[in-house]
Amino acid sequence: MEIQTVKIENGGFRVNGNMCVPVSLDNADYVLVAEWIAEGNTPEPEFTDAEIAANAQAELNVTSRAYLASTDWYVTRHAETGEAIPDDVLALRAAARLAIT
Amino acid sequence: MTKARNLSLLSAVEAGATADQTKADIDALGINGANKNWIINGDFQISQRGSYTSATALTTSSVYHLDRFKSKHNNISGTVTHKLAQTVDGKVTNTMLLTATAGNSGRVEGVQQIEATQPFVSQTITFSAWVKSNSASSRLIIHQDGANIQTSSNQHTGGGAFELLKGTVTCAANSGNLYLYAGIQAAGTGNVAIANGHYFEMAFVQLELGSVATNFEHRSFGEELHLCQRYYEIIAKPTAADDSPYFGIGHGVKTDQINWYYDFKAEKRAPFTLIVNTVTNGYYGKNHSSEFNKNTLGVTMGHQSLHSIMGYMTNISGVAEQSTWTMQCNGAGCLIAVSAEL
Repeated sequence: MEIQTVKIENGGFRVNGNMCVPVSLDNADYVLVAEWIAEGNTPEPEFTDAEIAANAQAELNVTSRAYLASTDWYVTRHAETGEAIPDDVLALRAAARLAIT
Repeated sequence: MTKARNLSLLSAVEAGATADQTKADIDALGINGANKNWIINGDFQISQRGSYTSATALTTSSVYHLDRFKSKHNNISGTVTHKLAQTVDGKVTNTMLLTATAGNSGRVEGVQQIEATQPFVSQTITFSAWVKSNSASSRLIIHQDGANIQTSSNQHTGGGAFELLKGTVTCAANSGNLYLYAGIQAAGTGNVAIANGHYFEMAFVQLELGSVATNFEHRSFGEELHLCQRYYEIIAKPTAADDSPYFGIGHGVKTDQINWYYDFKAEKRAPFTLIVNTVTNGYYGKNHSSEFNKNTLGVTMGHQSLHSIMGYMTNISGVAEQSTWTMQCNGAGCLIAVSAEL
């Protein structure tokens, strides 16, 4: 096997785009990857900066939506009874809405 | 110990003898029950990785072509060809042909590596093959990797007919992995003078305990395939453009991922490599009303065993958790396989 590209992926390496190689010295393909790294080559990171940012945003979306859902009852209570929504909840819900993209 | 001689157990080498059979006779013949041949695919029945019945270019790196056999050239150029239904030693069999397509000081060789777990330590072994060649530098070589010892068979005459090449060696206590090299090569697997058109065609490759090269042990296609699958196994590979084989059952694990599960036909030798040919929209998760497709698949390496795979299709959207999916290839070019080769 001639190594052209190596990317870190899910506990192993994706080699040449079509091979998922485990980190194990009993795996002949991993031995080649280890030799390739020992020669001074560096695998591509698992995620690019853009992917890291996208993943972080996706996680923020999930937590923000979850906060909004968990505090929706304040809004319902306010609509039904007129009881005010606490200021800190209002501020955090506003921040959550802004965070979601 | 003496026993009445059972001629049906003996090779042609011993068949003419009339004395009582002794344990030494049996040991020399390596008769220890069935499955005496430690070479896998020694009659080239199996070719999971593809069709090589047309000449296929060799590279300077050893590449697996006919299952457990790798092949390469050094300092010349050459091809490998899978020849079907050839007559060798009066029997019909497949062969593996290596051909030099340029002349120089170099070599063409096939090699099979045998696992160190096999019981060869301090044992006498015999390796053999029927070889047709027009080069007098054609030979077999056993390399004991742990002890770094090479042992050559007799050389081919170069006369262009099939001849039995064989060699015997007592393995060292630190023999380690064994490699059987077969090709046009020096006695220590080095280069020799090769002319354009020199060829090496081998059949009935065998490695057995004992000091006698007995007749080749035929195994059924199913047995041989199963032995090969310990090292390389195809999960799904279309056999025609309109073929769409399945590769397991999938389940929705989260909104952007379907996991799929497949139970191997043979437990793997070691942690495996997953190989997935990249094909545009080549891999599907389908049910009655919807489908997802991707160009490739993946696997989380930390959670795999030697007898099954849990792979994934990811970077999709709208997957319902706990939904079920039929996982399916989409025609030509697709391949899902696992390799645990040495």
